Amino acid sequence: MTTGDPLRDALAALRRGVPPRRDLWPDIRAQLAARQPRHRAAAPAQFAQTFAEKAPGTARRKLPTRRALWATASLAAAAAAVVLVLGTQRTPAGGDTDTLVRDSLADSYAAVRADIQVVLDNQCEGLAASACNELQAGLQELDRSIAELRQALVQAEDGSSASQWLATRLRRAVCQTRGLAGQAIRIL
Amino acid sequence: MNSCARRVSPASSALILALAAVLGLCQPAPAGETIDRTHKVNKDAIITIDNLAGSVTVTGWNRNEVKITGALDEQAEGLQVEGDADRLAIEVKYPKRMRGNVDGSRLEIQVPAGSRLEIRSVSADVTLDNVEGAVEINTVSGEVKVRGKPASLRAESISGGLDVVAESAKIVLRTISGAIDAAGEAREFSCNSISGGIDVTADKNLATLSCETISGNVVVKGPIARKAEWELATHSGDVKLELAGKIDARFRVSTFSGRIADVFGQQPARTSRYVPGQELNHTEGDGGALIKVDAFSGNVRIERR
Repeated sequence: MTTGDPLRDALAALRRGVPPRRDLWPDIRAQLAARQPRHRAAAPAQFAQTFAEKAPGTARRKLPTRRALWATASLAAAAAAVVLVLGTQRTPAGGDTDTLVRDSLADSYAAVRADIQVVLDNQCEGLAASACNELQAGLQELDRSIAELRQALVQAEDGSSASQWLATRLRRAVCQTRGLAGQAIRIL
Repeated sequence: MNSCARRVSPASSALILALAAVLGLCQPAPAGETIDRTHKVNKDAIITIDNLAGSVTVTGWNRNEVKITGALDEQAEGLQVEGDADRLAIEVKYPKRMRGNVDGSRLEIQVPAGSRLEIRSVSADVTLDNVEGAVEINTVSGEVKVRGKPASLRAESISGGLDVVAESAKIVLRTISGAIDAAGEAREFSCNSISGGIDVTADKNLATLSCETISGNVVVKGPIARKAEWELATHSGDVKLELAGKIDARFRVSTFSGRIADVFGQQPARTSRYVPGQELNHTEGDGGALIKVDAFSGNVRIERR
């Protein structure tokens, strides 16, 4: 597809990104898994505290401890955010990643769906049966679409554009389920 | 702030009761009877309306008062109106257990055009006209009809249809199975349904359009603004675009297994040897606008009107 403008065409032909030579996710996952869950919440603060106590350069510059704590906590939080973002992003040619994305989205869906079901089970008595039936039917439509997307993802080539497209659709379907949950709560 | 719930000294309570009696506040209208009440409010007051069944018709006017007329259902316990000039809550009270069929209460309410409205119903139909403030409507099965220029509009239903012809900065419509039928001017328009069909008549000023369904079909008609961004997505529902006027847009259309009809003579391509999906990337005119359509198994058709 050309725009007729040589400069724009040349620009469009440039690579949009440079994929890493290998799948980075397994290492990141291993590092995340190595952490004790109870340390996760406190990790940035602990790191900051340790850094403030042990970094001699910091002490020599007579940086106030509280300031050092805040500065390093910010850095640690930023680093943790980067690790988390990398963890949630897709990396090329990663069969493990595809499975993780698929499973985590399926887990998200199951959790949101369970929440909606609880709301329906508790609140439907006060509503006309037809309204609850409509909500249940909506949930079944979502179930069907999620099942089809998951099935297609299983069959799609790992790391392919089709796989990415399907993962995006699956993510949107989960978002739509969250929207339905919010709507059910607001109405019921 | 609910004036009926305020703590008052004994000395002033008699005066407040007298005032309340004069204004008609806190005094439920008797069940099954006609209503005719007026309350002074500010021009930008927040007005909440709750009516389980029947109908709610709200019309904006240029007076700083709320006028409520209509008739209550036989089984209704009364009409409760609470609040002050900044916030007024209007609610038809029903018993927890009701006998047989409920015809519902019919409310006709005139409000300052700039007031902010929050309306809730179960099966009551909701009709709005000539409103200019922000509007939020929640209903289960009531039909919603909005006309006018609300500052913003958010309407949600489960099975009730949403019929909107409005000028607004932002319109958000959501249903489970109810149909969405919208037209008018909006800078930002978003609609979402599970199985309900969506029919949007776009205006030349529509900058952002985002519509999504699972099995409902999506139809969008009208001109597309030069820098507009439209994003339509379905799972199994079909998408149809009928574009009018001069078209300067980039088209990014893809499906997993659905078919894409040729777009202005351009044929779609297979996304892969292994899946039946199709995609079509095409630029029409100078490509200022962006139209993105995704469907899993739904079919896509884009044509010039």
